[in-house]
Amino acid sequence: MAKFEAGMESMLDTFVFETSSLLEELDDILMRTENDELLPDDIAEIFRVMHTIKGSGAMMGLQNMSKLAHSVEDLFYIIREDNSVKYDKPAMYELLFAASDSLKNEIDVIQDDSQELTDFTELMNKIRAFAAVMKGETAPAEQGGGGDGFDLASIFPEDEPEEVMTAKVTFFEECMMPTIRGLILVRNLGDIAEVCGTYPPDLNDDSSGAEILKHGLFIKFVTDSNEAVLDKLQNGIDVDKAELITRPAEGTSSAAATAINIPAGVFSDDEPEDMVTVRVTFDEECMMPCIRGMILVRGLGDIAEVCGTFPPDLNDDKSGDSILKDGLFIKLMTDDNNAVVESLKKGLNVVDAEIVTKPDKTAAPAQAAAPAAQAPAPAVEAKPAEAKKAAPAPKKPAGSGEKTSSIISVKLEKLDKLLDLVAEIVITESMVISSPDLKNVTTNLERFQKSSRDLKKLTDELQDVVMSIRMVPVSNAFSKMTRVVRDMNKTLGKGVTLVFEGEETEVDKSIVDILNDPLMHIVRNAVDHGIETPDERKASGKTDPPTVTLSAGYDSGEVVIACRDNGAGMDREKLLAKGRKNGILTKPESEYTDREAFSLIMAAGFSTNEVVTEYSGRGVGMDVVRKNIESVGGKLYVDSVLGEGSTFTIKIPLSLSIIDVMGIDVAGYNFSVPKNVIVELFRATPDMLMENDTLIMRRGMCLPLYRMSKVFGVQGENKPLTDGVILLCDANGSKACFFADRLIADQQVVVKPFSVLLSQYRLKEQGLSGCSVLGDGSITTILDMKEIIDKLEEGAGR
Amino acid sequence: MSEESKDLYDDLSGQIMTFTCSDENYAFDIMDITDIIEIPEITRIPWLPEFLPGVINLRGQVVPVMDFNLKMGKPKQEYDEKTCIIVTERDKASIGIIVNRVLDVENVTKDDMIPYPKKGSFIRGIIERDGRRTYLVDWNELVGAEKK
Repeated sequence: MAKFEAGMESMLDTFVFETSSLLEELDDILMRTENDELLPDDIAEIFRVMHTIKGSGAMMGLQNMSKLAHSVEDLFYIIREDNSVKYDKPAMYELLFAASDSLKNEIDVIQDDSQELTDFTELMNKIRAFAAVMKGETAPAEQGGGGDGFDLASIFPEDEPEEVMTAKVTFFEECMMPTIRGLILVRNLGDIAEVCGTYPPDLNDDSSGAEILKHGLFIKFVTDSNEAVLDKLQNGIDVDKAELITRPAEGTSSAAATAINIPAGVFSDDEPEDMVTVRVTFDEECMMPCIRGMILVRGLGDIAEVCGTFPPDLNDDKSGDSILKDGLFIKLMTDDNNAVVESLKKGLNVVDAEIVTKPDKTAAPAQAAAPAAQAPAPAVEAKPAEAKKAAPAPKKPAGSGEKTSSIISVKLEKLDKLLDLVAEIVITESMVISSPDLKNVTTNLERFQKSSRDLKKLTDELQDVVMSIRMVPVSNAFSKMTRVVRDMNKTLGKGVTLVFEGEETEVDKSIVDILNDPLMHIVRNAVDHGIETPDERKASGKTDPPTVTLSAGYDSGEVVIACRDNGAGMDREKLLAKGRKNGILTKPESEYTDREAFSLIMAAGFSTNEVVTEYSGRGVGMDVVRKNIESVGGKLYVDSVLGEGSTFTIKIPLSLSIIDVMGIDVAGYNFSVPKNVIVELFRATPDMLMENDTLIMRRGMCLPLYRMSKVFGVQGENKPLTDGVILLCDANGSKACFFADRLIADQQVVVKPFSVLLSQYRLKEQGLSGCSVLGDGSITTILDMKEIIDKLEEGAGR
Repeated sequence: MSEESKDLYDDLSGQIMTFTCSDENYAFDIMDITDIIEIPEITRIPWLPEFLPGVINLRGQVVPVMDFNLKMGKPKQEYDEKTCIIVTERDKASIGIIVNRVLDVENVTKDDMIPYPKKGSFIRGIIERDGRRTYLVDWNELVGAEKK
């Protein structure tokens, strides 16, 4: 079964994108205001978000999302209208977060064919009950002793059929469990009346009890005998009195209006004869009838020419009520009346479609005009006035509308393609400019040289712009963690503070997307396992507040994201013991370096926490996180000091970035060394070499010297060290010299990570960060000098 | 043959491409094949096992290549004018397979398949036809890709 309305597939992407960003916005506001004051602007904003989701959800035919958003919208309607309203803020935020999560989850569900849409009734009832309690409490303030000042109108939906009667049952104050009494009453009515609903709607909810006592229980039913029903209700246990009530004043006129089928204004006098008017009625459940109407009208395009509709403006929300009440009138010209009616009947939520004729000219104005003019006309005229009254809501969308006009959202695929193209252009440009053919040209190339310099400047700029388009601040990923920590603080009671450092660091959009899951895992681990309970902290004499710090920054061509906690830290011996127990140690324990020992927690099937909590400890996790990060060419490091805390560091290359490299030849292998780590290139003289050529003296420093061919275990030419070229490299302060057979070129390359099929050979760990296609079509391997130097130093240390 | 074992071959497209290596006939499902090319210059990469001679530039993409003979544990054979690379792809991961020569495209149904009894082998099944025996290669096992 299709989850959303057919014909809307094309809108799905947009819907998912918009709704996701709205929900993120919502979370932002909620996080910000949870421990702060909820300002009118925020309330209006939440209202707007929910209103939009309600609308777009209904348009997609996703009734469940739409209705859930509607319930939240209603809740905020109350707060917006009356700022002094009192409510239980923490409880409300729980509900709001739950709603936000449910909606987010649903967005995933609609994209996953294997899952059914979720039923939100339970949550919706909770929210409604909460709203009802709020309303209940505000009532006394509002009514000012006016007896039953309770908002009666809310009990009477606009679209209620006339035959539905409403009975108000009041119970004695001492009545215990009024909800149960209510349920029994409703059940007893079974034989003589058909009960359509009650208010409060959920009699199983205890919170409805207070409401019933205060305002009475409203039962809606259809029956042949009002007296019999009242009699039955009156005789119920603890019932004070039962009476039939009708829609309050303002409602009555519209109730009367429902009797008039065709509102004034549908037919005009100067209408051509062949114009046909079709009346389409929607069922009561129909959300957003305007949109349905628009879809219908659009669908008619092939078979009829639509001249107009009544209500005339389908973009106006106010038209919706009028459509529900009187139906939508579509004026059209067509050759085939039946086809039109059939097509309209097929529409979603459409109850009926029929051709109506102009009422008798003389009869209509006389009989119908008076009430008709009263009923639908105010709906039309009231528009400007109402719009003004509801100023905060419509104002906002208008404001954001202006904003969005200068921002467009683009599919990431298109940007990927653009970046690929720019990279190819840069490479091709260098191919053209340094083409070997030009070397044989003897004529003066001055103008060519100048043009190529201009071209280079332009392509460089183009490259910068394209790269910057894709850059987003890493705070996008970080801010989601605020929510994670908040939720965990609630359940675990650790009171952890989350601190951001360098969250303005900009990284490629794809990296932010990749970071979300691993970060979530690491932060959860830090809060759950890393940070001790308040008692444990006190016992170990820690006075500083428990803190998890997320930091971001750049380091030699990589994005470095770290998650640091000031918790218990990890115990090397414990980890090794556990590793031994699980049989995942690959060498004698004494040979494990600290980092290797800590890295054990990233091995599959390893969990040191004996207790499985809601958040972690199932033994799956860190190994998955590591795999995810490695799959995009990144690395994950763990450092820890027992008693002081642990640090998890993620390093991801600035993906697809173009870097300057120096090409070198090592025994026929074409390697590229990033220029940012090269301090200098020089040719060695015999007096520089020391200790069997393993050390070299240069500029007053004595540095280790390695042959590149040995480093990579390839058969080298074994040239004398004074013959080739020495590269002095400095990666984060670790300096070393490397011997290469010869230099090839100074070039720009686009780093492409190795194929996933090669990741099993752990090239990344061996100091190969990727490869790149050069201008002449050959391939070069790009070296990660930091990894290489670290590995060599580690090897030398042992 | 039991029905159950036939389900193993439900994903077959119905056509296979056969090739020879060390005088045995092998085949890939044609759905996995994107290209057949002559052997271009192969760039060596350190640390890779012998059966992965390196990477090639396939229209701007860097694609690893595998020597099928070496992967099957057969001795290295010199490349000649018939030697070519079958470029295969799954889940956007490409790998070129160096084979002695490409033979033909054949139609097969899952009823033709004889399951291969050894687990964890590169062979998914055997097709016996006109006295010829062709081994259908299991791509995932061959390249060591993680199974979905």
